[in-house]
Amino acid sequence: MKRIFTVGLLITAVFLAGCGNKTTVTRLESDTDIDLSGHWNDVDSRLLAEKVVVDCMAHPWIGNHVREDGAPPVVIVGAIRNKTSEHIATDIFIKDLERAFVSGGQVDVVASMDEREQLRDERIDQKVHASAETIKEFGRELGADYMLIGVINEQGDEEGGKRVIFFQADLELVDIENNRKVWIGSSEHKKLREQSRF
Amino acid sequence: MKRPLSFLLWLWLLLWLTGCSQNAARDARVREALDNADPVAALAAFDEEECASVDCLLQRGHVAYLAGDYRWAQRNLAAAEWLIQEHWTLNLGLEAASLAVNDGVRDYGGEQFEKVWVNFVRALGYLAAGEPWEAAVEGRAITRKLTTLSDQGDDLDGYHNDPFLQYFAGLLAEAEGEINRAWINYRAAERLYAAAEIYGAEAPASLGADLIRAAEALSFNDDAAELRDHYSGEGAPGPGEGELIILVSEGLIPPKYSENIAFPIFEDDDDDEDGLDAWHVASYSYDHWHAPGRDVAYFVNIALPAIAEGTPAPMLDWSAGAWRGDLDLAADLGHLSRRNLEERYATVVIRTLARGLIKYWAAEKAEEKKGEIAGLLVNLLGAATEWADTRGWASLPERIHMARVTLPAGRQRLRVGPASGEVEIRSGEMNFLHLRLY
Repeated sequence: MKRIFTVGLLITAVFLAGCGNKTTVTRLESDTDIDLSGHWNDVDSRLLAEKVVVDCMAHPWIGNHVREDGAPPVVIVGAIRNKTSEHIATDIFIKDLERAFVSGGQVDVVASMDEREQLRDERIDQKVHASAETIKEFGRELGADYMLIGVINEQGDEEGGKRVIFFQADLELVDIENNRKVWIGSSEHKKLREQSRF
Repeated sequence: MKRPLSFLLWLWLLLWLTGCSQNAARDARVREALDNADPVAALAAFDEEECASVDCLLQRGHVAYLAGDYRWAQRNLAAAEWLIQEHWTLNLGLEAASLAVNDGVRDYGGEQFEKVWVNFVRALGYLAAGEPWEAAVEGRAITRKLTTLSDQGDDLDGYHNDPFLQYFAGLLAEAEGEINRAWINYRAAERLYAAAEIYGAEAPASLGADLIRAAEALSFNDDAAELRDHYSGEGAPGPGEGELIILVSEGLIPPKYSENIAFPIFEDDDDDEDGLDAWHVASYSYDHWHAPGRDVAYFVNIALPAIAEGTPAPMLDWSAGAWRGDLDLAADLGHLSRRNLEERYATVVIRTLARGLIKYWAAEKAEEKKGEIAGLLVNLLGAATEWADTRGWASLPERIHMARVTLPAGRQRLRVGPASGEVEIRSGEMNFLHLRLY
């Protein structure tokens, strides 16, 4: 009988262990690489953006532009389509691309359509409320020379507890004046998710 | 020492039994509210519960969607998907405990079909929230999961794929302009619908026209010609017209229940060498529970899961002003549920028998060491804790009906039986409307 009760006690312990999960929160640096589930995350976004922008800026289109115009090219980051099976916040990826461009220092990056609307509203507001010497003029926006557009694709393979996920960002830089593609590039990385059965 | 130990054991059992009965009571409240066409009341059934299991999260997410709380629905369903993935890793402690108590103590990882249908409900949620690009992500997740599932076995011999979900994923792909992916989904759906005995429904009439349209768009002329021999195609919508995919969820998936077979084994059954008397007594006892003048040696209680009978599929039609037409049965979830259970039934039976032997051994040992009363108590404890694992996604509909129709652009009010809904038909586009018929 003692053994049976001991077994009962052990089962109780197992259940209590299951109920006793404690939540802890640890503050981390924002560039710490953490992969919990293998799904798309901030690290994928940042790494892909950095890789693809480095590739983009190493190509001759920048030199050609500076030679012709005598000024650094102005780039706007357009729509990036998510064609994966995961919900990707493409806004974050777009911001990572903008940050990588700005950090590179070779191109000027201008605000997106939504951001421009906000800025125009601010200029209208300044006309009414700001002092005369600080009012910003209309018609002095920097027009973009090129738009970066693209798509994020995914290819996966899965069996048992193993899943290989391959993310690829295919991006194109298009001359806004004549629709000429001046650069096409891609950046990819592969992840392996392993989960044990026991 | 014995008293505290026995107290703990009984306390644990009491708490555990209470938890299980709460789940069953919650499921019953949810189903009753849905039966009364009141998803808000169904959602309120979760008010006092911290959902931490797959079945709870699936149901809460689903009824939140039906109640119009799309953000809450996505959060719950996403959490359910994550937990399903986590439960792929078996908890050895709970697996061992299930052999001593019952299968209900194991982590519930969802039935095979539930793991994919979660993406259908999530897609509906995104469509209702006006985020078709996110619904398209769910369509791709469906395709990915079904591809993995079909790698695990012949999809014409068991539930290793899903014709309706292939079709639905194809429709989402087509709406996104991905006609090549849509073609692959449509082709898979056509092949799988042919196995109606496995998947429970035949191909909706619109699938043939969709196949022809996709083949023509991709200039697969030979395929298009062959398809036209089998199906009738429909032209693209004219100017000022748009297409509407009507999806109607109807009924409630037949619930699982525990089928208990309980009977005593008598002291003098040992004399019955050919076992005929035991069989006779067992059959008799199953209904009468007693045999005067005989002493009970062991009380057997075996519990196996079963699924209640479904209801017959109704014929449904839709109307939008002067326009009307029929809806086709596209998916039978009651059938899928039964099919899933059938496919894992052998495993369930083996586990149940193994547990029966362990419980019998425990009672024997208790009697041997501590006497008849102790043996009887252990026997009764084992019998009382024996019931089948009846957890599941209880808020799912029993069937899905659908149609793909062309309507004039603009706001349209669509009716299906007592259910109705408004939809904006955008010219030249594919639009979706889901109605829940309770």
